[in-house]
Amino acid sequence: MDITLDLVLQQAVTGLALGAVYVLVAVGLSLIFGLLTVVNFAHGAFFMVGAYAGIATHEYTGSFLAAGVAAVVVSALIGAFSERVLVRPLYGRGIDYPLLLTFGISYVLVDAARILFGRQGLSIDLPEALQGGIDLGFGYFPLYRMLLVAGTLVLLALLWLGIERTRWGLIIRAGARDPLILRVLGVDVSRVWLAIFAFGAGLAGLAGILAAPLRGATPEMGDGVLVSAFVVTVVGGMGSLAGAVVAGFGLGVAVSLTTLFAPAFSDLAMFVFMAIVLLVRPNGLFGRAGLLS
Amino acid sequence: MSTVHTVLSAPTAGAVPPVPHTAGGALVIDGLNAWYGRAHVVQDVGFAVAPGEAVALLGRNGAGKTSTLRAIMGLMPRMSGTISYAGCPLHRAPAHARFHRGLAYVPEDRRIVPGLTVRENIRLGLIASRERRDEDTVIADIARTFPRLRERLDQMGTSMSGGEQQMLSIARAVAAGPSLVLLDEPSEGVSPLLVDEMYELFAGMKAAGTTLLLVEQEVERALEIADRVCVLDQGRLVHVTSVDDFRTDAAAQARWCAL
Ligand SMILES: Nc1ncnc2c1ncn2[C@@H]1O[C@H](COP(=O)(O)OP(=O)(O)O)[C@@H](O)[C@H]1O
Ligand SMILES: [Mg+2]
Repeated sequence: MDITLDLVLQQAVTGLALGAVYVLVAVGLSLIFGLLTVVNFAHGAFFMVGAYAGIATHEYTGSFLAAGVAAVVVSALIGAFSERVLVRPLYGRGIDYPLLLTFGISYVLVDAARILFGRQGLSIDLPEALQGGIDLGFGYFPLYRMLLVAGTLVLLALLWLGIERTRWGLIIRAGARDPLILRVLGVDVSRVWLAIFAFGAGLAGLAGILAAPLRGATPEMGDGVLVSAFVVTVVGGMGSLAGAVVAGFGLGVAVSLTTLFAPAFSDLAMFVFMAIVLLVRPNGLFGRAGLLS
Repeated sequence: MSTVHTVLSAPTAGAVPPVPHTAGGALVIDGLNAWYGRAHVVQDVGFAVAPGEAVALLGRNGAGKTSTLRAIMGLMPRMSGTISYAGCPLHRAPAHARFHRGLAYVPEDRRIVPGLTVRENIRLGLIASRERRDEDTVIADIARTFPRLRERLDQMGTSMSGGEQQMLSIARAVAAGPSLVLLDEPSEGVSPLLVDEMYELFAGMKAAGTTLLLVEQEVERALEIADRVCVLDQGRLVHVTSVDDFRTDAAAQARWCAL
């Protein structure tokens, strides 16, 4: 096979787009772990819920915007319900209880999708305007993937600003370090936790609908993404937002380039990447710095 | 409405006593019990603190002073008995609701949030306050009242000395203008000079009508500012008296407060 620079760049963009999806899923996972110390095994299912809710909405309305909104809202609502009703009674019992519970939630959601939408999966086509590619001078790149990366970067910048500059952000930063002092200072932390869980689920749902035009939707689509997102949070450092971003894009590109150069090893690439990072930095890239710093 | 800063600057401002806080009332504790797991660390404790009064809660290490304050703030894993403040029952309210009733708690371990600047730690004290007072004004007031924090507003809270962190913990607790302040060993591990400054602040708070419940190992310091003394021993309230009586009662001091 002829591997040209152009092809490598193309594949790098594909990798960044894959990374954007990882990042959106991992950021929520990281926030939920950082604040609630819940390892959320339902996160991949929220990703899937977003894709299905978006596709179903698109079928009814024909609107991509409506599909995006529905993906976020439905997954956030299911996330909120899960935290408020199912996870909350388990706080203070150690990390394994919510872990097993969210594992169960994900089974229920995946089965619900099979019952409602069938096992074979659905697909969604991009709107005309987003199909095709753009010429950047040094190559011709798929438009949607570029937009996906750019949109994710904008969203991350907004999230960063929100966390650094707003009242809510201060609550999140303090809540990750010392929820007790927040309570003493008048903050109802249970509401903060609910909001974070719903927000993380909503981000996963958004990632689901954004990924759907590239890979379709199946009830099991969240499984692989969840594994990748866990790898991303571990590589980035559990609870670190900056780590999730760097590791997410890095991993996306690594997997994508491996697919190009050594297709047989593309699945393995992720774990090799993780092993190397953890050998050099056992706490992950940003592990020591801690959450959100 | 008064702000805590006019309150805190009272002693230096001198002449006119500032307006007391809103909604100050008596703190009444009755039949209070608290547990850590199976350890029954507060046993049938009852006492009251009148509005504007300063009560010193004394006793040896492990006597249950911190646990009592935590129970008042709603932080004990398990408790029974009643606590009311300004006529409202508090014992079923979660900790954050007690803050909104006018309680403030300065914990023994200070709990300056790592990763946040001094300014952000102070902002945390205002974050849930329902009167949306202008944050910049409050921080400027605090900077005036706590000169040690003024030059350090943009430095990490945890990078300061222990005494400065204690000052920050107090500033953060009083930022929203509480009417009852629970202080847990504020002088512990703080240089004498800073302790002087700190007690001047407490005197200012008291002069402004803020009610104080003060846990101290340094009995002499506590007696400077307190009106009454409650003594705990092995989880029980063993002695309640006036400061003047306690000061001259060497036997009581030796029995319950000697190290
Ligand atoms: N987190 C905890 N878990 C279990 N026991 C505790 C805990 N904190 C304090 N205790 C115990 O409770 C008793 C009262 O402690 P405390 O209220 O801290 O006393 P004081 O503040 O008067 O020194 C002590 O016997 C102490 O060992
Ligand atoms: Mg103590």
